[in-house]
Parts: sequence; structure tokens; C-alpha cells
Amino acid sequence: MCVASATPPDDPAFVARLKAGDERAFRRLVEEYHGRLARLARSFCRTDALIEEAVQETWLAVIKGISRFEGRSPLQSWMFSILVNIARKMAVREKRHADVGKELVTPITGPADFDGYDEPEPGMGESGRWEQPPAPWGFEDPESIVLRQETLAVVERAIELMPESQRRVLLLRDVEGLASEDVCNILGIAGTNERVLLHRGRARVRLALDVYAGIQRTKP
Amino acid sequence: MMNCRDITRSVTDFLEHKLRLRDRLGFLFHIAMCGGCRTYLAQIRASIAAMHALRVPKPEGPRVDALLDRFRKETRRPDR
Repeated sequence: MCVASATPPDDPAFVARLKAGDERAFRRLVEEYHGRLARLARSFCRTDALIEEAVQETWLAVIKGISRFEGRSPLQSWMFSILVNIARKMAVREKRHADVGKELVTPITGPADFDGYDEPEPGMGESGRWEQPPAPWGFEDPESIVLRQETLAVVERAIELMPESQRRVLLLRDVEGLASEDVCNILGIAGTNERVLLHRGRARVRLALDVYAGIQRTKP
Repeated sequence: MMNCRDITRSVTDFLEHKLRLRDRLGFLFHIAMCGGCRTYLAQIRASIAAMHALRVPKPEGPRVDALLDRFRKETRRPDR
């Protein structure tokens, strides 16, 4: 496997370089993960200033903690769990200082997370059979869908708009590719809860692409 | 017997390998017979593939040098 295509944090040699103080390795880590940490932070923090603070604090914690990192979980799981813990602490801090009724950092889970689990898919009949079956998009195959910038933008937007708890699970599971067990540990949620959030989030993304495909079909 | 609504509700459990054998077989049987649900499953899989492709966002130009400075200081500490 060519080194350039391997995700650095999965590589034990890369972790060793970080522990040894290799600055190029650290620079590469920041370049690859800063945006991704910010993306996850956005699901916790309401302002750009708080997002930036959370990510900066995360990097400082990574710098301080890398010598003790034992590699029992992947490096990226460790970094994301640091971010979530920092975001949680910021939530507690903001609650103490916040104006009445104003919340600057969103909670881990709330009642909105469980909206419409039994929501039927559009086109589903009352009898439990499709009245209007899903129409093929024409770009469902895995190769086509990842090549079209527009479809990726639709997916990105759908993720940004969904409830935070669904977004966090989708980001960690389907975007970042973390294992279910790691995601549950990081977010402090049970496996069944995680699966519900994953289910709803995926259904939303599929629906967003379905709407997009429908619009494309009407174009000349 | 699974109907289409059951399929859409259990698609995540199916992909996560959380269905009991009997339900898994019912799922596969329905999929084999129902074009609408086959399309739905393919679209869910495509959605997941698209999310995988979002893995690396554009770099946001962080103040790497300031962080590098901290990294250098931390990894050179004699008491590490």
C-alpha cells in the first residue's frame, strides 16, 4: 500500500514519529485534522469563537498528551474524544455564565433527537407497501456518487442541517469511519441509541439526495 | 413477513448486522422480490459512500506555526 494513501493516524510509525517530536508529522496531523475537528465542534458549539477555542484546546491537549498515548484506540478516536470532552466542559462553563435562556453550546442529547423515528418515508403507503417506490437516481453506484461535487455538497448541507445528536453520530461513524464502540464511548451513548441516531441521520441524507435527484430529473 | 415499511425501518440494523437470522432472511427475501426496496437499500448505501467521501475537508488554514511552537516546547521538555 502506498504511504500517501494511508491515513496517517492509523499508522503506528506515524504515531511513533509524533511521540518522538517529529514536527513534520505534527504539521501533517494538524493540516489533516484541524478542519475535521472544527466540523465536529460545530455540532457542539454555537459560535465560531467557541468552535475555534474548542479546537485549539484540543490541539493543546493532544500536544500535552501524545507522550502518554498508548494506541489502544486509534489516534483519531482519541483526538475526537478529547474534543467532545472539551466541548462538554465548555457547555457546563457557558451554562454558569450564560444569559437566561441562552445556550451557546448544545447539549449531548435532547428531546428533538427522538423526533419521528417512525416517520414513514415519503411514498410509503399506509398499508406498509410503497405507493410511490423510490425512483433510481442514476448515480447510486458508489463510484459515481463520490465523483460528483454537487452530490457531496448536498450531503454536506444535509448533515449541517440535521439535529446535532444525529449529526455527531453521522460525522463520527459514516464520515470519519470510527467504530461503533468508539463512537458510543466518545459520545457517552448506548449502542441502541447510537443506532437510532445513525438510522435517522442516514434517512435524512438519503432524502436530501432524493430531492436533489428529483430536481435534476426536471432539468432539460 | 416483512413489508416495505419494515424494510425502511430495519435497514440500519441490517447494515449493522444486528438483525436476528430470521429477520435477516426475511429482509433479504423481501429485497429479492421488491424493486422499490432494492432501490431504497442501494440509495442508503450510496448515501453512506458519499459521507465517506467527505472525510477530508479543505484545510482551514490554522495557525500551525503557533501550535508547532508548543509541540516543540512540549516534546523537548526534559521531564517527559
